[in-house]
Amino acid sequence: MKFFHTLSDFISKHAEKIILLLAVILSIGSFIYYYQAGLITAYGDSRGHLNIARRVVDSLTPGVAQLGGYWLPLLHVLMLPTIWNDFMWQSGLSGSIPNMIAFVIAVLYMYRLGFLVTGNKLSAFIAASVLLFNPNLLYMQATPMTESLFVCTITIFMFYFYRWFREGRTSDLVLAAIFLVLSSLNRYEGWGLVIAANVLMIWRWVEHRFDKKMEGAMIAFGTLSFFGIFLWLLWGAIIFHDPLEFMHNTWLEKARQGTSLVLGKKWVGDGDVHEAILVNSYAVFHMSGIITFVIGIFGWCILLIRKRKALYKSENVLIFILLAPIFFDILTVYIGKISIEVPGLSTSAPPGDYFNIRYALFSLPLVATLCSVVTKKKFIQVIIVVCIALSGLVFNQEEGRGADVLRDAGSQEDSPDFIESSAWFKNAFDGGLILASTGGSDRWMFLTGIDQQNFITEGSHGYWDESITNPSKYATWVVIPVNNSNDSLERNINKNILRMHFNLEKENKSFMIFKKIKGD
Amino acid sequence: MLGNGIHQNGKFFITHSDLHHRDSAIRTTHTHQKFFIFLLIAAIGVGIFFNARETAIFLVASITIVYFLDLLFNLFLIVQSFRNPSEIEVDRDEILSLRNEDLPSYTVFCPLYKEWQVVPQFVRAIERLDWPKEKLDVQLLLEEDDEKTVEEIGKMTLPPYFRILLVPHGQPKTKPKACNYGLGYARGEYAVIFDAEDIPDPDQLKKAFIAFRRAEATGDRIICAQAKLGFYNANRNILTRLFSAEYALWFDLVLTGLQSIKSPIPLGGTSNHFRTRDLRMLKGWDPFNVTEDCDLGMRICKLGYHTVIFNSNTMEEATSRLGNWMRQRSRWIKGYMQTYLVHMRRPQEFLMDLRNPHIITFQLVVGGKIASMFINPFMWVATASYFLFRPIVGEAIESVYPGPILYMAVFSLVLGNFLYMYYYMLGCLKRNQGELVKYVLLIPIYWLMMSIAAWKAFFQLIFKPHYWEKTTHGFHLATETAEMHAAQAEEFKEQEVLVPSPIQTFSEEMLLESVAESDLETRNELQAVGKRKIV
Repeated sequence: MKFFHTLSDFISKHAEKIILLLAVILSIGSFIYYYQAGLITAYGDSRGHLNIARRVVDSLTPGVAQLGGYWLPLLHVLMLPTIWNDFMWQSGLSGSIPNMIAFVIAVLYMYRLGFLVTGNKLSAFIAASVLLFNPNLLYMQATPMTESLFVCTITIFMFYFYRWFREGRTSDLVLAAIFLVLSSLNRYEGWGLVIAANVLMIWRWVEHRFDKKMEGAMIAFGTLSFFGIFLWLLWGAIIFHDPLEFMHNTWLEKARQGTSLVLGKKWVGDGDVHEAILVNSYAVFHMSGIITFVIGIFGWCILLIRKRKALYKSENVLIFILLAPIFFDILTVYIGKISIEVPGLSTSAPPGDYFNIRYALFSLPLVATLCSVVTKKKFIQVIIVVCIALSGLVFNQEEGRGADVLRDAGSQEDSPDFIESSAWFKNAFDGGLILASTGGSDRWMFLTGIDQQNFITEGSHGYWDESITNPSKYATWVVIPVNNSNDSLERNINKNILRMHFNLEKENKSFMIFKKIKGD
Repeated sequence: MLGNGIHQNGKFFITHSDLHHRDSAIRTTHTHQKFFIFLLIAAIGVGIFFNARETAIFLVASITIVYFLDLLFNLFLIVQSFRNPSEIEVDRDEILSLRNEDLPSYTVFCPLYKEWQVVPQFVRAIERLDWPKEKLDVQLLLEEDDEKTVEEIGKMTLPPYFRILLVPHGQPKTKPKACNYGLGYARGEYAVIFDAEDIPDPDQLKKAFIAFRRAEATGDRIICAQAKLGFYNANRNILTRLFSAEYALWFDLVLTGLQSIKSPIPLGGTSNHFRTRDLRMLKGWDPFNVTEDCDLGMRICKLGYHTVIFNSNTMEEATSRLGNWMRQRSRWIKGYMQTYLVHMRRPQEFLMDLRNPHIITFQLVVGGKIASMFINPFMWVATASYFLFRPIVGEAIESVYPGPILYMAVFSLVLGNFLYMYYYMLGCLKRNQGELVKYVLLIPIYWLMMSIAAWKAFFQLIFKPHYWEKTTHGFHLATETAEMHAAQAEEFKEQEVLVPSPIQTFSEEMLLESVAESDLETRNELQAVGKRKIV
């Protein structure tokens, strides 16, 4: 018992320093672990992110106009200082660095948020430990994916928003809005958060009987928080002449149709609200880990009992806002815009049981907050921290891979044909421009390691349009995926000219690679 | 000082100031400045003649870089004003700890011109000042030829510590000249300027006094304490709302940000407090500069002194009519241009403290502010044309924006315009004027109006550089506050504190009595001009 008290006193005294130190150690440690295991770019999407950032500095038509399309740009912008370096690009480190920094900051702000909610350093430490020892987040922060960054921006947003709610300082409201903008420029769940936060502001205004000061705060917050969304729509209008380009992206629709054709059924939760809620809840359960999830549920019950007579207290506001990204995912699953698959509720077909389960990582700040309110008894607090740490870092190791998200990543694993064709091309490439689509061949391009300035893609402005109708004008090579309906090249290229001026040099189940006939 | 003046082109102008002509806007530009402007225009002309595209790229790049730097500088100021709030906060306890016998005498300058209607309001505002009245010296500075005002005020009953000084007729006829005249007769150890329509916070003089006392204790070279200005008729119409938002941004964010980096601060037209001896050392105001306050702020900085903002407000009347606003705004912009030209005659004077090169902040605060108002309309037209007539003008516009410049320009266009608008919202929030925030969305219209006023100011600078376009005050009295002021007038009668005070005539002896014996310079000046009519 004395040991627990000594330990808890030590943690309380040096809490922020301990948390920072642990976060840095775990962040770097997990990066080294996954780097050695060759899993940094296991997600196919991570290679897409790296390529988008790379094309800003290394492309036939370099520049910021390479940003845009379906994916929001924050991570790509943060990669720009390092992506020009070949090692940083190919290793994925260019994307890992901002995510690792984001992880450390997220843990620190989770601690601060926990302290703000509970006023107790050990409780705040519990909140931080939920992020700190989560194997899924530890893996994601080592990769060039957007999840770790999003957890960071929403945690900081919540910290300032909650503090404004309690203390009313204008600077807190502005900082909250700034981090909301960053969230909305990183993931579309951030858009849900923008809407939820503004609904709360309107409610607050009404609650204050249309008070003028609150009206000003509401409008100022709304103006800034929607600015990220406005920028994205404006960007779409300027670059693609379609502000809603990200919604009109053909990839999702094709993927839906593909699943329907294979299974003869819709995605899980599509059009079924109960199923949509269930699949998201299971995903939260998987991403939190069983022990943390149970403690979180317990914390929620305590909060409901304690505050049931004061429904509009700031804690409930916090819970409402933290639930927003989950609500957003439930909605998008329900309307069929995304698919999340969990064991027992999956379509039991490719892409697999854990497909997109990582989206539930955005529930971690909520789970962490709920865990922090469970108790203020030092002894139990220390036990909770130890349990969370052990469940995350020891008990949750399955198949030696450490995190459920790796199964999700595994669903995007490249086929042997895919790898074989990229390796073949890496050796065969002897110069000239390569015509390929980012929609169907982006990951393949990354695997070849060939500089992006050698590729004619959709972002190559005039080159692309001319090459579609006349492939021989600029290109020496043409790369077309086999039976990939996402590939705009396969759909649009002038096949007569292709056959006339190019030889098929390589074909397997994944790709067809054409080379221009010599002297043509 | 009194009776002194400047000789120019065969004319003698009485300015009541010792300010050297090279520090004055009596001449808009000096020969070397004219030569520089000519060279600049000639270089652009030659450039366009020989290589129009490269010249256009150079001009666009220069403008874009200035805009970009201005954007970063303003962002820095706003962050500074939130992170390091540097305005002097004086709390109630500190005010209560002051003893009346320790307080010095205070002179209040109130220059008036054809605005006798607002005098009762001013009298009431001064009555409310928390300062021993026997230590107040309130000067109503009237123009000799403003017979109506002189007559109307003569009918009023003024408190005994009010006195009327008639500024002798002559050119230039400006507020700074009247203030210089008043400075010659100032009895107070401290001095402040209030406009006739001003309503200062009752504890403002005490707060200013404490601010100076603190500066003396810490050895800070603070020479001026500026209170914040606001409007009591902010919600009158859209114009007053936008004007109020502008003031909120200026006084609550920009000036406090400038203060935090000890940069030159363009003073507000009123509510700037000084030690009278410092004001005399500064040689008063430039009567030829139509924003003498801005000019004085720059001179303070060049001499190595500072201005501080402190937590007190003076409520003014926001001009609620467009024509009146345009006159006032074009005068302000003309004054900023005069100030810029005056201080660019010897810009090296800003470099006395090399660790703190004020020349950069001067360029951004005064020069950049003016330039943006002239350039903005062209940039807006270019942007609108690009999107509306892209097939026709798109290529031409794109050709003058090389890569990095394009990025900077787009950044300034999208983020810059948004941020500038947002700063107004923050200013309103900081000032607890939440009801104004929604009107800030209309601020681009206000910017357009400012650009129109800037062009008017430019032509006035050439043809009528010293013409003071008077802002008419008192519109509010005719409407929603008429009843309030009637009630105030009744209250004055009930208080029975007033003694009949016709226009006072001051003999030379009386004036000499009013000046401390130690102030030999002023006494000598008074004796020198003793034969002038001082009514």
